[in-house]
Amino acid sequence: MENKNIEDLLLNSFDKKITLTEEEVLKQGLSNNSEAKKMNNHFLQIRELLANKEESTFGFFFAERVINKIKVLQDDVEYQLFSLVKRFRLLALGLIIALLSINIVLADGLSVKSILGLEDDTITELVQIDLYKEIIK
Amino acid sequence: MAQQPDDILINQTIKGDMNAFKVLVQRHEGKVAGVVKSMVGSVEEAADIGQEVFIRFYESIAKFRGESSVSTYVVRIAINLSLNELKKRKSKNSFFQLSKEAEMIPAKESKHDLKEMLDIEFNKLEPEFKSVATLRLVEGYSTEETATLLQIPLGTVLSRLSRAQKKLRIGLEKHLKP
Repeated sequence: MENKNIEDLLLNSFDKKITLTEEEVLKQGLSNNSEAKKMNNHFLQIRELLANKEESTFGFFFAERVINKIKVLQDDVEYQLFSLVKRFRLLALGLIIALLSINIVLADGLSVKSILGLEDDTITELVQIDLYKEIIK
Repeated sequence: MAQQPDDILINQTIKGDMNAFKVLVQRHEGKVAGVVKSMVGSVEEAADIGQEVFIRFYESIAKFRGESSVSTYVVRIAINLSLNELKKRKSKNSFFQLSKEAEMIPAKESKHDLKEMLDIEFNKLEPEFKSVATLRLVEGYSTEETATLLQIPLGTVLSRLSRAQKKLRIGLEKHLKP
């Protein structure tokens, strides 16, 4: 059997259950093939060295630092506003879509005016106000 | 309080008891630190990412339904934030990254042991391989748990694991005992 296949079989055997036939092939490979034996030793060394045997930590008083940071954030107005927006963004989006839908239904058609909920008169008034401002200038 | 189960501590946190949340942080710091340090290295940013993990957990604690364990939940956040950090580093491709890598490469003259060389090779792995190897090989999660945490198929976990180990072996071949 090719070394590449033995290598794949070997790696599979570490992380999943291999079939009895595969197990037999691997056993034979490891007993007859010196390169396969070497590979096996290499992978075992790598796995042994990688395995985290000590409890990791972020250093002293990490939990206290986290709690302090949360308290600082809670006092920050900008953060509060951001959290509020984040929390209610779906509700706000739903509300906007609902309002737009109501406008479209009431106007009995799809147009910019119906989406904005403006009457013809309102637009005319707005234009007139702008014109009036221009004249005054 | 230190003996109480996670769900009780979560309820107390929701009611405003920060001591309960502190116990949760202390209880899960080890797992999160293991994952983050393995992913981004034992650099200053690791502790910042760790803080961010628990802040995100705190922010979403009211929504926490207990469908997964707290450990799974925070480790998932840790993996995502670490991947973001690696992406940021890659896109920056700045002096920062080069200097970080330079710190990790041993000088030719200095004698570094196998573990240090392995760490250097591990840091060279692409993020998708590193995340799988971190969970399975460093933190000892099963392949199924790794797949669940990363939300990828089991087959993908196995193939990435296999490729990661082949890469590590190639990088270390001369230094490993026969």
